[in-house]
Amino acid sequence: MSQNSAPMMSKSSNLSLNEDTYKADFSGVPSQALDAIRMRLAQLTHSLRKIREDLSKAELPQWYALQAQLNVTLTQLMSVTSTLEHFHDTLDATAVYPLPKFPTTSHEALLTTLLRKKYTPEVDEWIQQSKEASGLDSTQLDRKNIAQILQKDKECTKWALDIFNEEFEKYNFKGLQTRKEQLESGSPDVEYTLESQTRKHTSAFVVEDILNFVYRGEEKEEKSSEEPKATVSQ
Amino acid sequence: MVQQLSLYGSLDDASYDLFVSTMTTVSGNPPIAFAKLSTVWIPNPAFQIEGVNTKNQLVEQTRIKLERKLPLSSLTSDDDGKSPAKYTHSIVKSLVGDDIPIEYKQLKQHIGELPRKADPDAMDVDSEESKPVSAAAFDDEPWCVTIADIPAAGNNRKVSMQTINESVLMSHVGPDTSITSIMGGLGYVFQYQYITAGVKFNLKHGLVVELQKIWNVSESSKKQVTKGGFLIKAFINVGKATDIERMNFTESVLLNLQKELQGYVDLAVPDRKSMDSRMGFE
Repeated sequence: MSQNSAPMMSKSSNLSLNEDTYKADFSGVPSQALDAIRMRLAQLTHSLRKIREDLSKAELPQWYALQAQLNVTLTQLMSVTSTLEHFHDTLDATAVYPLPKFPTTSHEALLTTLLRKKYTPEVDEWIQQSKEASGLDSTQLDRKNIAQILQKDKECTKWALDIFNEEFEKYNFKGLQTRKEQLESGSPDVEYTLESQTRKHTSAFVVEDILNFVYRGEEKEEKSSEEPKATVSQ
Repeated sequence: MVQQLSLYGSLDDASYDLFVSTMTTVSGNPPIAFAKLSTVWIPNPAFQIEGVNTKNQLVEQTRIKLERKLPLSSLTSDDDGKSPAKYTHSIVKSLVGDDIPIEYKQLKQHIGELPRKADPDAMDVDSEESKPVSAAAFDDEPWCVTIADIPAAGNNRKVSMQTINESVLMSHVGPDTSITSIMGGLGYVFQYQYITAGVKFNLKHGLVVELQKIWNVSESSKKQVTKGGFLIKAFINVGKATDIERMNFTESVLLNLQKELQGYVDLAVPDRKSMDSRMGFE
């Protein structure tokens, strides 16, 4: 992966050390690539933070909510990866250095972090882990062989995915009919709903009217145009 | 004296089957069909009843309700040769109209207002043949005597809370053993009557859910008050109003049921004035 870069730095062709007259030339900055990556990284960190917050809550969210969140995060991670791949050449060719104005002494730690090219120990560890997991011995195989093996692996994955989709189409995972029955009958998907879900009961009367009769024998006057009888005072 | 905590709701006729199966599932018990005759009595207006007692305190005059079980066979007109097992909750479903095969005269016999035939022995035989439901056949059936107070006041009550005095009248003696003469002795006269038929479910913690259909049976006409639907009553009786713990627990049991049925049947607290059986002052 390419080294990320901070906007405060730029690739410049005409560098003057005179601070007053110095004007930074930002034309060489691959701003389009950096902006695209920054946006995707911001999304990714946001959703990762949300997952961490969800998991640290006393009451765990529902499993499907977590799964949905994880799906979003994985999609964003893929988007970051593909963006990085897309701008691979540009970013690889970009050299990063600080501007003269940068407060080197007061922010040395920040500067060294930003300019660091060596992987941090945990990143090294991840790379090592994935190399081991691939089952390829890089000491014995050369680059060409490895690329070949990876290509084969990709093909195999693609084949498996196709087969899966093909099989998935054959079965019906919803409703009461099998896929075969559905195709034969030619009827479109019928939505089966329980009666209890559609049944909305209506009230035929007001409860108070009934109770008035039960407790006092007062009958509700139906379609009478006369003045209602004086109700019993409380 | 019991405290009755209750919630009411309504259900349309078409939803009956679904509600019965829902409640059977929820309660784990089958529905129990029932039918009863309720008669309501008021203080005899012929008497001049003082509104205050000797201490100058207001005396509330209250209606008295007398209830007696009716056999389920009385709900259908074609009951000849049918086994008792036939009288299930499905019988209630068929009762949708105003008509009910119980006559005003029969009911009057129940309370003894209409004179029966002179010889009680002969009448028993007659009635068995002519009318399957005769009041005489139920002379041993006890009456349940009920006096209810107006439900407790308060704006944010989650359930209706009513004090009820109940007693059972097993038997009575004297030259005239009719219920009318007994009530007459207490200074009460008949006001109106109605028939309730329905099903009930017994749930845990003494919770009872009743589906009721009510008919107003008067001399001239029979009219179903709950036309097109059922009255739903969910209630629990608590022995003592002072048993706060029990009251709170009971309230939460009712609220749980309300929550469980939410969106399907909405149980609510009715206006307390509609449950006031006092005479009032005019």
